[in-house]
Amino acid sequence: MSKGPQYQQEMPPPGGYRKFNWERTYPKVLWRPGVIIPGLVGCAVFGVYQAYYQKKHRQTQKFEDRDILNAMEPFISAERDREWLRLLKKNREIENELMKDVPGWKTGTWFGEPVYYTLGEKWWDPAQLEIFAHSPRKSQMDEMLFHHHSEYSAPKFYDKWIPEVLGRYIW
Amino acid sequence: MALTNDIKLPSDEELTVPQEITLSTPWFKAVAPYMARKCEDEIKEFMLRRREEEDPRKTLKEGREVTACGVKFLQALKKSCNKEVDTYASCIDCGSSKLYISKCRPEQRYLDHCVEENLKIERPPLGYFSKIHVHESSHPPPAPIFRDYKKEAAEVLHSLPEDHRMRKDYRRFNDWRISAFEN
Repeated sequence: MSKGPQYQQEMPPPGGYRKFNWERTYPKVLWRPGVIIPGLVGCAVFGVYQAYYQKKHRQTQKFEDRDILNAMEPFISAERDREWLRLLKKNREIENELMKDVPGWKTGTWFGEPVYYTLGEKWWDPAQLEIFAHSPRKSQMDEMLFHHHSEYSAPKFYDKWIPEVLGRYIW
Repeated sequence: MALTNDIKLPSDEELTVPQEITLSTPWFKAVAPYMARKCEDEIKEFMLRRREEEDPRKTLKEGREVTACGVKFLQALKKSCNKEVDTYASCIDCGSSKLYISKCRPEQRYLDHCVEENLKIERPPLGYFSKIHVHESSHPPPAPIFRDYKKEAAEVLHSLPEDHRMRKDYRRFNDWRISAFEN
């Protein structure tokens, strides 16, 4: 063979290149069934355990709270009875004052006709309409919708920016 | 009841107490077990009579006694354990929105210890105030009232005039209900 023109070719260094891994590499499987299923089962078991004990704690907490309220009840009822009778007295006096010039009116009756016929000597609390007849509407709504407000009833930080016109309807 | 002027309501003196219990809820919750334990007799008497009589006018005296006992206990407590109660009450206040006392066990134990030392009252176990307690009252239960309804009805019917069934003004209620089909 005759020699052609001589070129400079880029050849590997003497001894060859270093070794490198040209094999196919697969990613390491972390989330395989052997890991996921025990993980899920473990979470479920822990959840069941936690639910059981949390429910117990909640029930005990609520029961304890009710217990304390039962202890408080007599003192509150005694005070409330007194306040109740004071309110009823005040209502009766207001009614006497208002209707003294109306002919035929007797306090506590409809122009002489009694509200209840068969009570006799028994005590019966007046209806809500009568209790709040001479009170502002706000006190009636507060009483009816008592459970709609939270335990915290003091002024909040934003109360100073609410105009009074709106503020009296929000409690 | 639509109270007429004939119904006797108690006087203002009967409705006032020298000192009412004016406590906020956290403070009250903190001291309630001890207070109720101390004033147990008055409380039982008051609640029993209140349930039996079904009339608030008749149990005012027992109510006043209950409040007085509570006030006395509070005055003694404030002299000896005021600081512990204050910490406990503010812990209850900050602990939860429903003011549960389960968030404040350490403070409760301090207060238990203080009250046991100074006032010699043991905190009742959980559930004490939800159980039924037997109370031997010196007051007998109110006598049941048996009314003779037939007699009362006969009296009323006897007092009506002869032609009351024909007259419109003797049937003042339920007119709107029966007028469609009856006259």
